[in-house]
Amino acid sequence: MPDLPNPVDYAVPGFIALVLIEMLIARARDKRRYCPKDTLTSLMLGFGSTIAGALTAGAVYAMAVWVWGFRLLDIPYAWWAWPLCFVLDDLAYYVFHRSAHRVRWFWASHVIHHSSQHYNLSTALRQTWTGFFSMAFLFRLPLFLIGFPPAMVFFCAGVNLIYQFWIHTEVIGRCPRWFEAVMNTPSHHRVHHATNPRYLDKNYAGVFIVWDRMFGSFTPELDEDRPRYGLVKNLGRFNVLWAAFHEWIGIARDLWSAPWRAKAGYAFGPPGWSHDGSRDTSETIREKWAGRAQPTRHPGEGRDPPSSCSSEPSAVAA
Amino acid sequence: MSWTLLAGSLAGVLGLALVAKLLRLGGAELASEDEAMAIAEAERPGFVAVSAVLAEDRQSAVVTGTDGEQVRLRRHGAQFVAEHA
Ligand SMILES: [Zn+2]
Ligand SMILES: [Zn+2]
Repeated sequence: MPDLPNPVDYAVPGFIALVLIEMLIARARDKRRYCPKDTLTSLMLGFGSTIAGALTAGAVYAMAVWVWGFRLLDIPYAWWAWPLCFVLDDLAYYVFHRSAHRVRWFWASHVIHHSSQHYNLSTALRQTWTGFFSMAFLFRLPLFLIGFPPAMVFFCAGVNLIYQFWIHTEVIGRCPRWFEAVMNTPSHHRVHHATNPRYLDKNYAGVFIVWDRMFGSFTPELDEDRPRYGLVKNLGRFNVLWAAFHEWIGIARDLWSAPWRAKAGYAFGPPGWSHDGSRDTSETIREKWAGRAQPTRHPGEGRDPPSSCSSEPSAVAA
Repeated sequence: MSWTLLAGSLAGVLGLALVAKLLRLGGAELASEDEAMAIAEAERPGFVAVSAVLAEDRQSAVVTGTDGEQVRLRRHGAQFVAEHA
């Protein structure tokens, strides 16, 4: 098996340079797009994530090789295998990501990525510390079972992660129509990070937005409903450890205090689920929002909208 | 993962946060009572704001809702969070 490099390692200098450029743009256009404490929190979370990933990489790789031993096909390192692997890995990512928002167990690990109220390139680096513990690697196992070599899959996964970096920005408005139709873009992913009721639990795509269009989870960004970022219940503190573990602590507390018949719901139900209906889920938030007259106020009104990366002015067709 | 990469990444982390500070990015203030009410409504599902009182420095506000419930907005970095008043 060839010893492929981790593409993410090579991307780090690029990440730093692009964050720097985006900061300069923020200084010129809107200083509130960055906040030093938020940036430090995001980057420390990214740093911690690489360490957690390195510590568990061996175990994940060993497991992948073990499952690959039961493969249905012998897929070689041929030119056609790479794009196929990349596309199927992106589909696996979609399934993982959708579960990460709909099952509290996986959400507890993924919430870290959504814990900033900012949306800039540094937000992209807020990555999980507890992915291994949550067993997120399960979602990739089918690829090894099909017969894709583990090294090929992990290389594609790295490229996928790198792609997702540049879409975490408000600097780019809409991309050309054909691109917005097929690819995940800043506009689509802003929707994913937004807590506006209409945007909750939408646009789970990694690289190709087509999965959301196929499986009914796509929603376009509307100019009249500017995204507000973060969590339905924002953390309100810049604490790296709290950001990384708060939802696990919440699960533990609920498992301790909940009645027996409700315990599984607190771990594997959707985020916000409660046995007495006392908490908000995406569904109840959307119901409350739909139930009231169209809100008359929009936070952030009057601030500069993101500029466009093309001359195409209109939103993408849904 | 090598020690060089680890050290380089940590330097990048601290360096970028320092640059954000040197560029004086961040900071926020509530522009108006209307903005405070809009933020409170967005932060609290189902909350319908009726009035708001801004602090003198515009770094916080108390927003009152239809049923008399009060929500306190507090600046958190360059954003605001809502808490029970
Ligand atoms: Zn997500
Ligand atoms: Zn994201």
